[in-house]
Amino acid sequence: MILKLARKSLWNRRGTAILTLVSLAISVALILGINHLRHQAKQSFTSTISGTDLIVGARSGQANLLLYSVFRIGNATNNISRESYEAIKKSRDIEWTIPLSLGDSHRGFRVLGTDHNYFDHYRYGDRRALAFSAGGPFSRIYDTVLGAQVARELGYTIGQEIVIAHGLGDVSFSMHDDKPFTVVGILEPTGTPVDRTVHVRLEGIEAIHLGWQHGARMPGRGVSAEEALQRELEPEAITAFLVGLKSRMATFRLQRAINEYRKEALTAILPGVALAELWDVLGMVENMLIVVAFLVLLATLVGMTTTLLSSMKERQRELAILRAVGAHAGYLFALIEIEALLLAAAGVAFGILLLSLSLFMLQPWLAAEYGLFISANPLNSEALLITAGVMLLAALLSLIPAMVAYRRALADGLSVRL
Amino acid sequence: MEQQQSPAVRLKQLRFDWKKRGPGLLEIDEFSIGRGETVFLYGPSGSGKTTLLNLLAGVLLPRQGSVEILDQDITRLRPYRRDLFRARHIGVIFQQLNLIPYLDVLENVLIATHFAKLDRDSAHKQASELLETLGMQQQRHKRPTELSIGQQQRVAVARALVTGPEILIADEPTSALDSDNREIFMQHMLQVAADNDTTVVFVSHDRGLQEYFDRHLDIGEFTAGGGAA
Repeated sequence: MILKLARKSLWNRRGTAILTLVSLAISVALILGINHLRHQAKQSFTSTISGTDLIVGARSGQANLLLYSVFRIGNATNNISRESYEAIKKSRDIEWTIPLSLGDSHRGFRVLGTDHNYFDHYRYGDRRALAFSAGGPFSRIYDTVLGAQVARELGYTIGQEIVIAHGLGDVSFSMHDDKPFTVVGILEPTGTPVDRTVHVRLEGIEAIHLGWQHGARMPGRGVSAEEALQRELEPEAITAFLVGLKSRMATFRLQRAINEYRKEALTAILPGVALAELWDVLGMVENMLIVVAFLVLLATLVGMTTTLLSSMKERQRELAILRAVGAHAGYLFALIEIEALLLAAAGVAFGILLLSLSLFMLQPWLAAEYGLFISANPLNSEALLITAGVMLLAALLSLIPAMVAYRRALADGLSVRL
Repeated sequence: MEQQQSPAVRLKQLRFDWKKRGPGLLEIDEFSIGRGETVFLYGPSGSGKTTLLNLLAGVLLPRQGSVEILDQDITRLRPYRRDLFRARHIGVIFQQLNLIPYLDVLENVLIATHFAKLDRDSAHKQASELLETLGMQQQRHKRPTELSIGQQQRVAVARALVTGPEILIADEPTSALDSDNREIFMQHMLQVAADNDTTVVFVSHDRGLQEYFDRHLDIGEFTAGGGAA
């Protein structure tokens, strides 16, 4: 009966009730949406690279090594010599290594020199392997494989020839234009920096730098593309390399061995740990967002309370009638509380619906445009906790109008002051 | 005055004053109303009539003294019991706007039986009979806003009497009615009350209505200041 009364009373004031409901739904969708995106972003971020046990580079900070080797942000302080690379590679704990050589670019996109292991062993997300949307891996020296975003933004297709610029400037004046590369493969979107990378063979990087010294072409010492193929193209140094181990048990042993490597100053990091630490720094921003969303929600709930409170005046008559037919003052208190909770529950339900619907509609677009794979289901244990929090907050705030109803019922009696 | 039964209402040594506002003080040393009696209580507005009705209904409590309804001193009941007592034994009719706007006529009548914790089926039967007697059965699914004020007040009678209360309290229920409707309303109300042997306490400033009642009382007799607000 009390539920029916609360429902009908709300419906009787549906104009304001619906407005309150809409604002509640929006703020619930907002707070749950931010929470959801936060989870998804963290998951996506911390699984930018997976399946790799160690990342090895010249001695530097953990964040720096992670940023340039995985995110292609910033530069390496130093290189790793081929001797060191070959020596460490022989360790019996190691199953595979992926060499990485960075330093050149193509129209703002980084060029990565690597080898075939990249396509076989590189994993991201939930241990997903790289897949080709067109073509296949490189085999010849002047072959290149493009990340999804590179191909899409520059409109490249298989068979096209591209020229790599020396250095990292967006607009570079020194071009390796004597040795163009042919696009042989385009990767599927991954939502990771792989999408923004131009991949070539290590030997390709070496070939285009023949006859170059100190970052400039030496006049009269140019080597043609065909001549270069005849030369010894084993790279003398690489920027970093990824390591996959036979058993993860060996991770820390090998990490220490590399960090204490005598012939060269090297650093080995655990990508999972480094990513989590980096995320903690970035996490400040998302905490701010959550705080803002919470404040919006609070404002909405205060608005709901205000609406209920201001409706008390026009409802004096209704409450006096209920009192006259025998309603206890506590009954009126409960009636107001239940109305608030009904509104809040409906707000939460519509909010979740609104969010799920938007996610569902945005999902394909986000995946196609940004390689962001976001699940359409925003409900996780934290979301349920937030939902419970919303209800609790609504119950607490509506104590105010409920108290007003209770005290009026006791003080005014059946007389109504109009 | 010998009576077979104990009185419906007995007030003893009653003192009441609004702390904040309102008409000074109610002072009633001894006052009783017999069962089935109809009492007309008159006096100018603001003279404490409504306060007295609130005390009888157990919505307000006196500063001191006892309010015995049907031999039960309701001032000594716990609040929840007192509300239940009102739901079962006392019917109330206001001046106007007696009905909850978002419930239809039948629901407005049945809500009283809900608080009296009456059995659903008999409550329905009782409600239908009363609405029939009052000529409102056809309108039972209409909203109060669709009814004339006279019709609304008749529904209020049904709502007040559906639980079969021993006492009916009416606070100027005819003040918003024109003379024809007033006539119809008074007849209906007193008829149904008589059928149920209900004691009626009727408050009005309109002494033209006193001829309908057994006993006439000036509220001024109960107020310390002599009735002037």
